[in-house]
Amino acid sequence: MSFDFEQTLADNQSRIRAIAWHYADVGHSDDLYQEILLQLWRSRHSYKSRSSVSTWIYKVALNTAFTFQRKSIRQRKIHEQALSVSLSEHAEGGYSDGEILGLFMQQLNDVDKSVLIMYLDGIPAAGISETLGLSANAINVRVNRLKSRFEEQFIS
Amino acid sequence: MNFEDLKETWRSEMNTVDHIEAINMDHIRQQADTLDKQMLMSVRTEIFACLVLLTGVVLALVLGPAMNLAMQLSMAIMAFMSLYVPYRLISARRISEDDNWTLASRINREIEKLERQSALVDRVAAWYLAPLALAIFLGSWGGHVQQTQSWVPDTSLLLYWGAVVLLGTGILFYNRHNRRTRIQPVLDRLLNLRKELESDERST
Repeated sequence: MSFDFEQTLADNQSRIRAIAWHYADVGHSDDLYQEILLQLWRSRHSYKSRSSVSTWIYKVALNTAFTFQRKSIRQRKIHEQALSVSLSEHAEGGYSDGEILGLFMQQLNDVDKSVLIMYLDGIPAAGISETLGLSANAINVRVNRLKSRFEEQFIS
Repeated sequence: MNFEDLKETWRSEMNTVDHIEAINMDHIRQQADTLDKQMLMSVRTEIFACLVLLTGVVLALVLGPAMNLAMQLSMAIMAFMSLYVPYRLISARRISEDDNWTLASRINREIEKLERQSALVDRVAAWYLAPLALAIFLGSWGGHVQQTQSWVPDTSLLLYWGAVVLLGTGILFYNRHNRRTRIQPVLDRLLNLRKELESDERST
């Protein structure tokens, strides 16, 4: 193994925890966090030194999150209702930055959400492209679309 | 607050979730070992069950009493199933392994795996239940004929067949329910995800 796996996990613990928190159903983020750690351990030999550690972490973490058993349709409907209430509350003002980020993410589809998370984490377009298997151009288009959407909803 | 400010928000969010206990590597290793052992155990159990059935069939044919045609056919079907069923189960799980961890590639592999499992469950009646029921019918009917010298099934044999049909129907519905509630939701989600990725590539 060409890198210190345990140190890598320790350095990226907060990143993995945040990914799990944003992708898991309510009350299941610990399960997803554990599953991501497990998958990182099982796929540690797939890490290649030519890509950055954070890109590799994102590849494994997002793949795990996407295939993790998700909430039932009924739970999703309840969640969507809660989200629409939250958005109308936002219109009346009074949300912290963290809550705004949470609200924005909740309405994105999985691909947009992963692009946003990696963009906010400072991963360059080439790294996001390598993680998702999309062209860098497609990533830039998505980021611009996300910017416009955010500005429409939360700034104007 | 503008879009770029979200970067700072994301960073502080990562820092706030950082007050968590240290990663327990031993626990992770243990979990991975347990999973590997479970997978190995499940394959071994299937192979063992198939060998036991095959040995039983061979022993019955060689050492057992003389059998009529119905019983011989039943034994032949059992022998065939003891090899065919584990083959179907193992090949449905097998997918091409590669080191490509891009989301697009992993999604395609996962979809391939789930579609195979879904098709396997959908056709469970054809490749598992029907041949098994046929083997049971032929075997029990042949046994009845051998004992009573009559080709006409009696009440107890009819009741036994009825129970077999009921059990088979139960297994069929249980499998379909599992496919609907466990495989299909994940498959739908992955198909949607692939659509999102593909539409994105097309739009650029």
